[in-house]
Amino acid sequence: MIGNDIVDLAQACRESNWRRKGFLAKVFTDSEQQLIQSSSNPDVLVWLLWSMKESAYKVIVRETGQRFFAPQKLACHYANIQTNMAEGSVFYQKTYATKSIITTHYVASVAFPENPDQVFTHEIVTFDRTNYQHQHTRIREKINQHYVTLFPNAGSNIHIRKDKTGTPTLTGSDLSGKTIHKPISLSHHGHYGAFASFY
Amino acid sequence: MQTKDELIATLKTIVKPYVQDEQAFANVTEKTDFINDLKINSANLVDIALDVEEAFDIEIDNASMERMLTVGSAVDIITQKLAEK
Repeated sequence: MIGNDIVDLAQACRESNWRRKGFLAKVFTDSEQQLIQSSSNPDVLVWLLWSMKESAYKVIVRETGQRFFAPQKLACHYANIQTNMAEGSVFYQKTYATKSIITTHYVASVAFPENPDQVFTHEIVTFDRTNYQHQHTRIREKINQHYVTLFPNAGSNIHIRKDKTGTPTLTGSDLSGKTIHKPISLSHHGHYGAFASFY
Repeated sequence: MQTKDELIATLKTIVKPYVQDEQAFANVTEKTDFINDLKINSANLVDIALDVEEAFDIEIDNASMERMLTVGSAVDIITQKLAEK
Protein backbone atom coordinates (compact mmCIF):
# COMPACT_ATOMS: atom_id res chain seq x y z
CA MET A 1 0.00 0.00 0.00
CA ILE A 2 1.25 3.45 -0.87
CA GLY A 3 0.22 7.05 -0.25
CA ASN A 4 1.50 10.38 -1.53
CA ASP A 5 1.04 14.10 -1.05
CA ILE A 6 2.33 17.24 -2.77
CA VAL A 7 2.37 20.82 -1.51
CA ASP A 8 2.85 23.78 -3.87
CA LEU A 9 4.90 26.03 -1.57
CA ALA A 10 3.75 29.33 -3.15
CA GLN A 11 0.12 28.21 -3.00
CA ALA A 12 0.52 27.07 0.61
CA CYS A 13 1.99 30.48 1.46
CA ARG A 14 -1.09 32.17 -0.05
CA GLU A 15 -3.82 29.94 1.35
CA SER A 16 -2.50 28.77 4.73
CA ASN A 17 -1.12 30.92 7.51
CA TRP A 18 0.52 28.31 9.72
CA ARG A 19 1.70 31.11 12.02
CA ARG A 20 -1.88 31.88 13.08
CA LYS A 21 -2.60 31.23 16.74
CA GLY A 22 -3.43 27.59 17.44
CA PHE A 23 -2.52 26.19 14.02
CA LEU A 24 0.71 24.37 14.91
CA ALA A 25 -0.79 22.95 18.12
CA LYS A 26 -3.65 21.33 16.17
CA VAL A 27 -1.36 19.69 13.62
CA PHE A 28 2.02 18.91 15.14
CA THR A 29 3.35 17.01 18.16
CA ASP A 30 5.37 18.94 20.75
CA SER A 31 8.68 17.72 19.34
CA GLU A 32 7.61 18.58 15.77
CA GLN A 33 6.66 22.09 16.94
CA GLN A 34 10.11 22.46 18.52
CA LEU A 35 11.77 21.40 15.26
CA ILE A 36 9.72 23.99 13.36
CA GLN A 37 10.40 26.78 15.86
CA SER A 38 14.15 26.16 15.77
CA SER A 39 14.38 25.63 11.99
CA SER A 40 16.18 28.10 9.73
CA ASN A 41 13.57 27.34 7.05
CA PRO A 42 10.30 26.76 8.89
CA ASP A 43 8.11 27.40 5.81
CA VAL A 44 9.56 24.35 4.09
CA LEU A 45 9.71 22.21 7.23
CA VAL A 46 6.03 22.79 8.06
CA TRP A 47 4.96 21.53 4.66
CA LEU A 48 7.52 18.72 4.58
CA LEU A 49 6.12 17.36 7.86
CA TRP A 50 2.55 17.96 6.66
CA SER A 51 3.14 16.02 3.42
CA MET A 52 4.76 13.15 5.35
CA LYS A 53 1.69 12.93 7.61
CA GLU A 54 -0.76 13.27 4.74
CA SER A 55 0.91 10.56 2.64
CA ALA A 56 1.07 8.15 5.61
CA TYR A 57 -2.59 8.95 6.36
CA LYS A 58 -3.52 7.84 2.85
CA VAL A 59 -1.84 4.45 3.46
CA ILE A 60 -3.72 4.13 6.77
CA VAL A 61 -7.08 4.89 5.13
CA ARG A 62 -6.35 2.28 2.46
CA GLU A 63 -5.47 -0.28 5.12
CA THR A 64 -8.36 0.44 7.51
CA GLY A 65 -11.11 1.88 5.30
CA GLN A 66 -11.63 4.54 7.98
CA ARG A 67 -11.17 8.29 7.51
CA PHE A 68 -10.35 10.70 10.33
CA PHE A 69 -8.73 14.09 10.76
CA ALA A 70 -6.06 13.85 13.45
CA PRO A 71 -2.78 15.11 11.98
CA GLN A 72 -1.24 15.42 15.45
CA LYS A 73 -1.61 11.66 16.02
CA LEU A 74 0.76 10.91 13.16
CA ALA A 75 4.25 11.51 14.52
CA CYS A 76 7.05 12.31 12.08
CA HIS A 77 10.73 11.50 12.35
CA TYR A 78 13.33 12.01 9.73
CA ALA A 79 16.51 10.05 9.51
CA ASN A 80 18.09 12.03 6.72
CA ILE A 81 17.20 15.57 5.66
CA GLN A 82 19.00 17.53 2.95
CA THR A 83 18.12 20.59 0.91
CA ASN A 84 16.59 18.55 -1.91
CA MET A 85 15.28 15.40 -0.20
CA ALA A 86 14.29 13.82 3.08
CA GLU A 87 13.91 10.25 4.28
CA GLY A 88 12.02 9.51 7.44
CA SER A 89 9.05 7.80 9.00
CA VAL A 90 5.60 8.45 10.38
CA PHE A 91 4.31 6.53 13.38
CA TYR A 92 0.60 5.78 13.83
CA GLN A 93 0.09 2.43 15.60
CA LYS A 94 2.96 1.21 13.44
CA THR A 95 5.77 2.76 11.43
CA TYR A 96 5.40 3.94 7.86
CA ALA A 97 8.52 4.86 5.89
CA THR A 98 8.54 8.12 3.91
CA LYS A 99 10.61 9.61 1.11
CA SER A 100 10.26 13.26 0.15
CA ILE A 101 11.48 15.46 -2.68
CA ILE A 102 12.14 19.10 -1.77
CA THR A 103 12.44 21.85 -4.41
CA THR A 104 12.03 25.62 -4.18
CA HIS A 105 8.56 25.14 -5.73
CA TYR A 106 7.09 22.11 -4.00
CA VAL A 107 7.49 19.36 -1.42
CA ALA A 108 6.31 15.88 -2.48
CA SER A 109 6.23 12.86 -0.17
CA VAL A 110 5.51 9.17 -0.56
CA ALA A 111 4.70 6.83 2.34
CA PHE A 112 4.63 3.04 2.41
CA PRO A 113 4.92 0.23 4.95
CA GLU A 114 8.38 -0.35 6.38
CA ASN A 115 10.75 -2.51 4.33
CA PRO A 116 8.64 -2.79 1.19
CA ASP A 117 9.71 -5.60 -1.10
CA GLN A 118 8.61 -3.62 -4.17
CA VAL A 119 10.00 -0.52 -5.82
CA PHE A 120 7.62 2.35 -6.44
CA THR A 121 7.10 4.96 -9.10
CA HIS A 122 6.56 8.61 -8.10
CA GLU A 123 5.84 11.13 -10.87
CA ILE A 124 5.38 14.90 -10.64
CA VAL A 125 2.99 16.74 -12.97
CA THR A 126 2.85 20.49 -13.57
CA PHE A 127 -0.36 22.41 -14.23
CA ASP A 128 -0.74 25.60 -16.28
CA ARG A 129 -3.85 26.50 -14.35
CA THR A 130 -4.75 25.80 -10.75
CA ASN A 131 -8.49 25.15 -10.95
CA TYR A 132 -9.70 21.75 -9.81
CA GLN A 133 -11.10 20.64 -13.17
CA HIS A 134 -7.82 21.34 -14.99
CA GLN A 135 -5.79 19.50 -12.31
CA HIS A 136 -8.24 16.57 -12.44
CA THR A 137 -8.06 16.23 -16.25
CA ARG A 138 -4.33 16.81 -16.64
CA ILE A 139 -3.21 14.34 -13.94
CA ARG A 140 -5.40 11.65 -15.56
CA GLU A 141 -3.80 12.32 -18.97
CA LYS A 142 -0.37 11.84 -17.42
CA ILE A 143 -1.46 8.68 -15.61
CA ASN A 144 -2.83 7.23 -18.87
CA GLN A 145 0.52 7.90 -20.57
CA HIS A 146 2.51 6.46 -17.68
CA TYR A 147 0.58 3.21 -17.26
CA VAL A 148 -0.20 2.50 -20.92
CA THR A 149 2.38 -0.31 -21.00
CA LEU A 150 0.70 -1.94 -18.02
CA PHE A 151 -2.68 -1.92 -19.76
CA PRO A 152 -1.73 -2.35 -23.45
CA ASN A 153 -5.27 -3.30 -24.39
CA ALA A 154 -6.92 -0.42 -22.69
CA GLY A 155 -5.29 2.49 -24.48
CA SER A 156 -7.06 5.54 -23.23
CA ASN A 157 -9.55 3.34 -21.40
CA ILE A 158 -7.73 3.30 -18.09
CA HIS A 159 -10.09 4.33 -15.31
CA ILE A 160 -9.49 5.70 -11.87
CA ARG A 161 -12.17 4.56 -9.46
CA LYS A 162 -12.55 5.92 -5.96
CA ASP A 163 -14.12 3.95 -3.13
CA LYS A 164 -16.35 5.52 -0.49
CA THR A 165 -13.34 6.87 1.40
CA GLY A 166 -12.11 8.58 -1.78
CA THR A 167 -9.18 6.16 -2.15
CA PRO A 168 -8.33 5.64 -5.84
CA THR A 169 -7.58 2.44 -7.76
CA LEU A 170 -6.43 2.25 -11.37
CA THR A 171 -8.49 -0.22 -13.41
CA GLY A 172 -7.86 -1.55 -16.91
CA SER A 173 -7.40 -4.76 -18.92
CA ASP A 174 -4.18 -6.56 -19.73
CA LEU A 175 -3.43 -8.22 -23.10
CA SER A 176 -5.50 -11.30 -22.28
CA GLY A 177 -8.47 -9.08 -21.43
CA LYS A 178 -8.17 -9.75 -17.71
CA THR A 179 -9.09 -6.79 -15.51
CA ILE A 180 -6.24 -5.41 -13.40
CA HIS A 181 -6.76 -3.29 -10.31
CA LYS A 182 -3.72 -1.31 -9.26
CA PRO A 183 -3.65 0.78 -6.07
CA ILE A 184 -2.51 4.30 -6.88
CA SER A 185 -2.21 7.47 -4.83
CA LEU A 186 -2.89 10.94 -6.29
CA SER A 187 -2.32 14.44 -5.02
CA HIS A 188 -2.60 17.90 -6.49
CA HIS A 189 -2.10 21.36 -5.12
CA GLY A 190 -1.73 24.64 -6.99
CA HIS A 191 0.55 24.23 -10.01
CA TYR A 192 1.75 20.73 -9.07
CA GLY A 193 0.38 17.23 -8.96
CA ALA A 194 1.89 13.83 -8.25
CA PHE A 195 0.99 10.18 -8.40
CA ALA A 196 2.63 7.12 -6.91
CA SER A 197 2.20 3.35 -7.06
CA PHE A 198 4.24 0.22 -6.64
CA TYR A 199 5.44 -1.22 -9.93
CA MET B 1 -28.75 30.15 21.30
CA GLN B 2 -28.75 29.73 17.54
CA THR B 3 -31.20 27.42 15.81
CA LYS B 4 -29.71 24.60 13.76
CA ASP B 5 -30.43 26.50 10.51
CA GLU B 6 -28.67 29.61 11.87
CA LEU B 7 -25.76 27.47 12.96
CA ILE B 8 -25.43 25.92 9.49
CA ALA B 9 -25.63 29.42 7.95
CA THR B 10 -22.76 30.62 10.18
CA LEU B 11 -20.75 27.48 9.36
CA LYS B 12 -21.29 28.07 5.61
CA THR B 13 -19.91 31.61 5.96
CA ILE B 14 -16.81 30.18 7.67
CA VAL B 15 -16.30 27.42 5.11
CA LYS B 16 -16.94 29.51 1.96
CA PRO B 17 -13.44 31.01 1.48
CA TYR B 18 -11.87 27.52 1.43
CA VAL B 19 -14.34 25.86 -1.00
CA GLN B 20 -13.03 24.75 -4.39
CA ASP B 21 -16.24 23.23 -5.75
CA GLU B 22 -18.82 26.01 -5.82
CA GLN B 23 -21.55 23.79 -7.26
CA ALA B 24 -21.27 21.33 -4.37
CA PHE B 25 -21.27 24.31 -2.00
CA ALA B 26 -24.53 25.60 -3.53
CA ASN B 27 -26.12 22.24 -2.68
CA VAL B 28 -24.76 21.72 0.82
CA THR B 29 -26.51 19.19 3.04
CA GLU B 30 -25.46 17.69 6.38
CA LYS B 31 -23.90 14.80 4.43
CA THR B 32 -21.62 17.13 2.43
CA ASP B 33 -18.00 16.11 2.91
CA PHE B 34 -15.51 18.98 3.30
CA ILE B 35 -12.70 17.25 1.40
CA ASN B 36 -14.39 14.81 -1.00
CA ASP B 37 -17.35 17.06 -1.98
CA LEU B 38 -16.27 20.67 -1.42
CA LYS B 39 -12.64 19.83 -2.44
CA ILE B 40 -11.33 21.78 0.51
CA ASN B 41 -7.59 21.42 0.99
CA SER B 42 -7.02 19.32 4.10
CA ALA B 43 -4.67 21.95 5.61
CA ASN B 44 -7.59 24.39 5.44
CA LEU B 45 -9.65 22.02 7.62
CA VAL B 46 -7.38 23.22 10.44
CA ASP B 47 -8.34 26.81 9.58
CA ILE B 48 -12.01 25.88 9.61
CA ALA B 49 -11.60 24.36 13.10
CA LEU B 50 -9.83 27.53 14.30
CA ASP B 51 -12.41 29.83 12.65
CA VAL B 52 -15.23 27.83 14.26
CA GLU B 53 -13.55 28.17 17.67
CA GLU B 54 -13.38 31.96 17.23
CA ALA B 55 -16.89 32.40 15.80
CA PHE B 56 -18.63 30.31 18.47
CA ASP B 57 -16.17 30.95 21.32
CA ILE B 58 -15.65 27.22 21.88
CA GLU B 59 -12.66 24.90 21.93
CA ILE B 60 -12.54 22.03 19.47
CA ASP B 61 -10.33 19.43 21.10
CA ASN B 62 -8.38 17.02 18.92
CA ALA B 63 -10.76 14.12 19.63
CA SER B 64 -13.63 16.21 18.22
CA MET B 65 -11.63 17.51 15.26
CA GLU B 66 -10.82 13.89 14.39
CA ARG B 67 -14.41 13.32 13.20
CA MET B 68 -14.98 16.78 11.69
CA LEU B 69 -15.19 15.55 8.08
CA THR B 70 -18.73 16.56 7.08
CA VAL B 71 -21.04 19.54 7.57
CA GLY B 72 -23.25 17.34 9.78
CA SER B 73 -20.42 16.22 12.05
CA ALA B 74 -19.23 19.85 12.39
CA VAL B 75 -22.77 20.91 13.37
CA ASP B 76 -22.90 18.09 15.97
CA ILE B 77 -19.55 19.11 17.45
CA ILE B 78 -20.48 22.82 17.63
CA THR B 79 -23.87 21.99 19.20
CA GLN B 80 -22.22 19.74 21.79
CA LYS B 81 -19.53 22.29 22.67
CA LEU B 82 -22.09 25.12 22.96
CA ALA B 83 -24.21 22.95 25.27
CA GLU B 84 -21.17 22.33 27.50
CA LYS B 85 -20.49 26.06 27.91
